[in-house]
Amino acid sequence: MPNKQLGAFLNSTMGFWAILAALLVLLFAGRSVIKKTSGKVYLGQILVIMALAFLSLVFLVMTIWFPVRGEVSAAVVPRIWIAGIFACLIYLFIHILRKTEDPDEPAGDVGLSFKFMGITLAYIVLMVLVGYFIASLCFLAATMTLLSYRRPLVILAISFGWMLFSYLVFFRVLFVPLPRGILINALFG
Amino acid sequence: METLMHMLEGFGNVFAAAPLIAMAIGVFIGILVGAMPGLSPSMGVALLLPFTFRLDPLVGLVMLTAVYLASNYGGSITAVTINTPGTPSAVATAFDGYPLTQQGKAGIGLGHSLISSVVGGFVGIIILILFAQPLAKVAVRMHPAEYFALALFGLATVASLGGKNWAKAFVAALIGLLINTIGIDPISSVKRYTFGVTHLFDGFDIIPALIGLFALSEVFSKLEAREIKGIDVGDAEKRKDIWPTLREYWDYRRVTLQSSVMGTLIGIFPGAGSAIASFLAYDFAKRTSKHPETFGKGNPEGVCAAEAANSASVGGAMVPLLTLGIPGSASTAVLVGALMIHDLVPGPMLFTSNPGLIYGLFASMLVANIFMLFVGAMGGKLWLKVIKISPAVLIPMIVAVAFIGSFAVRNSLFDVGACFVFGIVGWLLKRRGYPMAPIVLGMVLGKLAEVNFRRAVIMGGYGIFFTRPASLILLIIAVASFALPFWQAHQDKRKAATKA
Repeated sequence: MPNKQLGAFLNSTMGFWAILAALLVLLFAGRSVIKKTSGKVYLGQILVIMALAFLSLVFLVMTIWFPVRGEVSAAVVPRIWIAGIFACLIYLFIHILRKTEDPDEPAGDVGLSFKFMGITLAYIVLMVLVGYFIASLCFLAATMTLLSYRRPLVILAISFGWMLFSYLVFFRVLFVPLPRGILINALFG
Repeated sequence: METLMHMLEGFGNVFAAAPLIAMAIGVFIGILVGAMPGLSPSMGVALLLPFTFRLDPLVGLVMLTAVYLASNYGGSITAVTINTPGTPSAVATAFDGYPLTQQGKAGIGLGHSLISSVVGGFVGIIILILFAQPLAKVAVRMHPAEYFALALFGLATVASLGGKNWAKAFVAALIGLLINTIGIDPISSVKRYTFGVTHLFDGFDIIPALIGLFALSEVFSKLEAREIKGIDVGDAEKRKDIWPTLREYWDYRRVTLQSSVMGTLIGIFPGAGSAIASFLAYDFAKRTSKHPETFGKGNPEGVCAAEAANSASVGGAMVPLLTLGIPGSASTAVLVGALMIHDLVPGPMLFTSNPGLIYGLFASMLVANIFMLFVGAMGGKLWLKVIKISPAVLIPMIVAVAFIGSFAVRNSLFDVGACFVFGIVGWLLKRRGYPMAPIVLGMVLGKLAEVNFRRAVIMGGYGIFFTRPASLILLIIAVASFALPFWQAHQDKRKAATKA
C-alpha cells in the first residue's frame, strides 16, 4: 500500500488546503495557456472540466487508503461514481475539441456578484463575532445599498424590521437558537 | 375500503387548527413564490423547510406540500397578466393567457387557469391516493438490487431529460452522488473524505446544500445578469377583469380532464416535472382541438390544458416519492429533506409505520386545492402589487432567510458556511450549463443507491443485478435513457447531412 502518511495527510485539514491550493494553481495555469489558443471561447467550460477532473482524481486516489472492511469495501461506490464522472468529462472535452459544443456564454456583471459574495462572507464572519441579529442589520443595509436601492429610510426600516421579525418569530416563537456572537457573549455573558 | 378508512382518518387529522393554518400559510406563500419570476417552487420549499423543523411532522409537511402545490399555479398569474411566467411550467400558459389579456380578457385567462389548476390538482391527488397503497405493497417486497436499479433509473431519466446539456446533467447527478459519499460510511463506518472536520462525519446536511444550490446560486446568477430592477406591470393593476361564467368553465371540461390525467402520468416519471407536463399537454390539446389554428392567439383551451397538467403533475410526482422514496423532481427532493428532518424515511414502510401522516397529507392536498380556489379568486391584482417588490430588497432578504434556514437544522454555523459554498459552486456550474436539480437528486438518492448496492452484492454477488428480472429491466431502461441522447444526436446529424 502506498505511503500511509500521504493518505493521512490528504485526509487531514492541511491536506484539504493543499488540494485547494493545487486546484487554484492548476486553474490559473490552465487559464493562462488556454487564453492564447483558439479554445479560449470555451475557457470557462474547460476550466470547469479541469476542476472536476482534478477533484475526481484526488478523490479516487484517496480511496486507496480506505480500510477494507466486509465484502464490499467503502471504496467501491465512490470509484463507480468517479468512473462515470470521468466518462462524461471525456465526452464533453471531445465535443469541445471538435467545436461541436456551444461556446461559453458571455459573462454578465461578475463584479457585482463578487462584491455581493464578499459582503455575504463578511456577514458570516460578523455572525460569528456579533451574532445573527446585528450582522443581519448590517448585511441588509449594505447589500440594498450595493444594489442601488435609493431610499435610505426604507433601507433602515427593512433592516431593523427584519431584525425584530427574526427575533420574534425565529428566536422566540420557533425557538431557533440563532448565534449571539463571541463578542456579545464575552461582553454580556 | 382500507384506503377509504385511512382517508377518513386523514381528514380527521387535517381538520384541526394547526394543519389548516399551516395550509393557508403554505397556499399563500406558494402562490406568491410561484408568481414571482425570481423565485422557483423548489427554492420556496427549500427556504421554508428548516422552519418546519420545530413543527409537528404532519403540520410541517402540510405547509410544504401546500407551497409546492400552490406555487405551480402561482406562476400562471404573471404569465397571463404580464407575459412573465413566474415558473417554467407557466410558460405554456402564457402562450394563450397573455393574448387573452391583450384582447382585454385577462379575467378569462385568470379564471380558466385557476379552475383548471384546481381540477388538475384534484385529479392528480386522486390518482396518487388510488395508486400509492398498491404500489407501496409491491415496493415493500423489492430486493436491494431492484432498489439500486430504481435509484439509478431515477437519476438516469432526470439527467437524460436535461435537454441539450444532458452530459452535463449526468455529471451533475454523479457529483451529487459523490458528495453523498462524504462522511462516515453507513455500512463499514470508514471515514471518507472528512479532512479531519468533525462536522463532516455525518456528511453535508442536505438542507443547507439544497438552499445553497437552489436559492443562493440563483441569487448570484441574477446579480450577474443585473436583474435588480423591479418588474413593470404596466396597466395590469388598473384593468377591470371579467371572469368566465360557470357555463364557460363547463365547456372546457374535456381538455381540462384529459390534460389532468396526462399531467399526473408524466409527473410520475422522475425528471419529467411540471414544465414538461404542461408543454406536452398543451401540444396534445392543440393537436386534438377542433380549432388548432386558434392556439397561441388567446384560446382558453390552451390555458386550461397547460394549467391542468401543471397542477396534476404534483400528485404524480408524489407517487414515487411516497411509495419508493425516490423524488421525481427538485421540489419533491426537498420534501425528502422534510421527511428526514422529522426522522421519517420516505418509502413503502411509511404507509405501515405512519398511515395517519400519509393519508393526512393526501387529505391536506385535497383541502389545499380548495384553499387555492379561494385565495386565487382574490384576483391577480393583489399578487401584482407584491411582485413589484424590488429585487434589490428581495435578494438580500432571500440570503438572510437562507442563512437562518441553514443554521436551524443543526444549530451550526458550519452549515451556514456550507450553504454559502454550495451557492458559489452552484453558480459557477450553472454559468457553464450544469443544472442544479440532478446534483440535489444525487445527494438525496446517494445513500439509498449505495446501501442497496452493497447489500445486494453481499447477498448475491455482482451478478445479482442481472439475474433478477426487475433489476435487469430497470438497468436496461436506465442505460437506454443514458443512450437516448446519443441516438438522438446521431439522428439529428443524419437529418442535417441528408438536408445538406
